[in-house]
Amino acid sequence: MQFVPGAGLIAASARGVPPASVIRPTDRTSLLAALAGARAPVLVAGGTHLAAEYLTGLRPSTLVGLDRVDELARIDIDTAEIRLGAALTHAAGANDPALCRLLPGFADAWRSIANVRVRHWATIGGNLMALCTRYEMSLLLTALDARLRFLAPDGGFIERAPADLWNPAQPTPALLHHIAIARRPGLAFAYRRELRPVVTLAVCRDAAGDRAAIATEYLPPVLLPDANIAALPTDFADPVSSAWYLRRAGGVLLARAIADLDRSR
Amino acid sequence: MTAPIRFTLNGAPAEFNGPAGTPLIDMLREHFGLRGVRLACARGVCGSCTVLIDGAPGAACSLFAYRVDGRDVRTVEGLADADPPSPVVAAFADHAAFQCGYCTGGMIMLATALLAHDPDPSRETVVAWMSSNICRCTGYGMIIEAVLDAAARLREARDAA
Ligand SMILES: Cc1cc2nc3c(=O)[nH]c(=O)nc-3n(C[C@H](O)[C@H](O)[C@H](O)COP(=O)(O)OP(=O)(O)OC[C@H]3O[C@@H](n4cnc5c(N)ncnc54)[C@H](O)[C@@H]3O)c2cc1C
Repeated sequence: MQFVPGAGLIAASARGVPPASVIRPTDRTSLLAALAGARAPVLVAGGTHLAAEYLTGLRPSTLVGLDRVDELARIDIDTAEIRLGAALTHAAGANDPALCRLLPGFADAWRSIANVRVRHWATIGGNLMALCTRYEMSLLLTALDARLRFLAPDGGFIERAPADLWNPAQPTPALLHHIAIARRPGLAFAYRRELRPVVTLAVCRDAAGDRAAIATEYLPPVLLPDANIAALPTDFADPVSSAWYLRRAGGVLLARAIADLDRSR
Repeated sequence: MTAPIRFTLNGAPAEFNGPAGTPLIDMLREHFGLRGVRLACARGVCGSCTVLIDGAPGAACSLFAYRVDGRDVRTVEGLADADPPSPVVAAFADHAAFQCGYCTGGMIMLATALLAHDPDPSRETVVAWMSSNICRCTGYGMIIEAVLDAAARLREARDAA
């Protein structure tokens, strides 16, 4: 908060902050040059999270806009992988016809993120790199066992798992380039967010079995150990919402997600 | 020196020679005097600063000025100052779809984007879209009626043409 004569006590915002210089690379070469050349550059994808960071004191001197680097906003699909560019907006990615065909459960889950106004601008990469436990992409991609590919200074890629983002011992490279989802037989996906932010749960199914990840508003995603599906509860039975209730809720969501997958077979 | 940002603002060519990292809302309000773009939450949550950029709704508080370079920007002034006013503006007025009115500009812009995207939205779709903007007076009932009515007016105008 700051006291502004004539206006009173107002929350700090991007207003009145000295504008940063802006670099807008158009390809990989100029992007790498911008990252190497600027002092503490801050990457801007959609900017929707950065706006909140301004309120908590972010004062960048150089912004590097990612919106003109076409290769960051592409979806590439071959027989081995689905590759989602880091600067794909939620609206563009979740409505991509090929993605909707190949992985409809994931496209549906992606489409449920945020609201229509945000979805047109916010990106999958910004969602991950904001490192915000209440943002959902990290959970979805943990369940999918996706790989995050970062651009190395030499133009090659450095690969990380989504969980690595949350590991302080594992430094995160500067620029997320794309997210890769391996195509495999029987790949299907279900997501339950009706209890968000208390608990959200994603299940990925393939020939190897079901892979479930769970997250809460304050904790990054964790993979569930092999669930005993037959023993899962199917209703929320506890009106006083005890800790027991929350544990049970996780089980209910898992049972529902698995039922979704069974129905979509 | 920064390169000027050139774009179309409410149908007319516009140029901004200030820093490209200026928040879009500051550029629109301070440089172009468009006070219908209202700052409230300053973090993209409430939608009172909603503008249309190439037809897509965006929160002007959460975008930098450079994002509109070469694009078409519409603010509520572009709709309200039109003669006759847009059917969305007229429907909001007829339904008194506002109480304090602070959120109204953003609501009208979001409704305009919705009806361009889906000219015949169900009530459910209207609720899904409009609930992304916050009316702190909680006058959503009238807002939803106004949007449905605006859709009907636009349909009638199309059928008559
Ligand atoms: C009103 C509102 C509601 C929301 N609701 C939800 C919700 O329901 N679920 C949900 O999951 N999320 C939600 N979000 C978050 C949203 O989905 C965005 O993904 C998120 O705000 C960041 O995306 P962005 O592209 O705008 O990132 P930016 O703000 O541009 O960047 C965020 C951070 O990531 C860094 N960054 C961006 N791209 C890269 C990259 N390629 N490589 C390295 N670093 C990068 C930036 O430097 C910055 O630190 C919401 C946001 C808002 C404002």
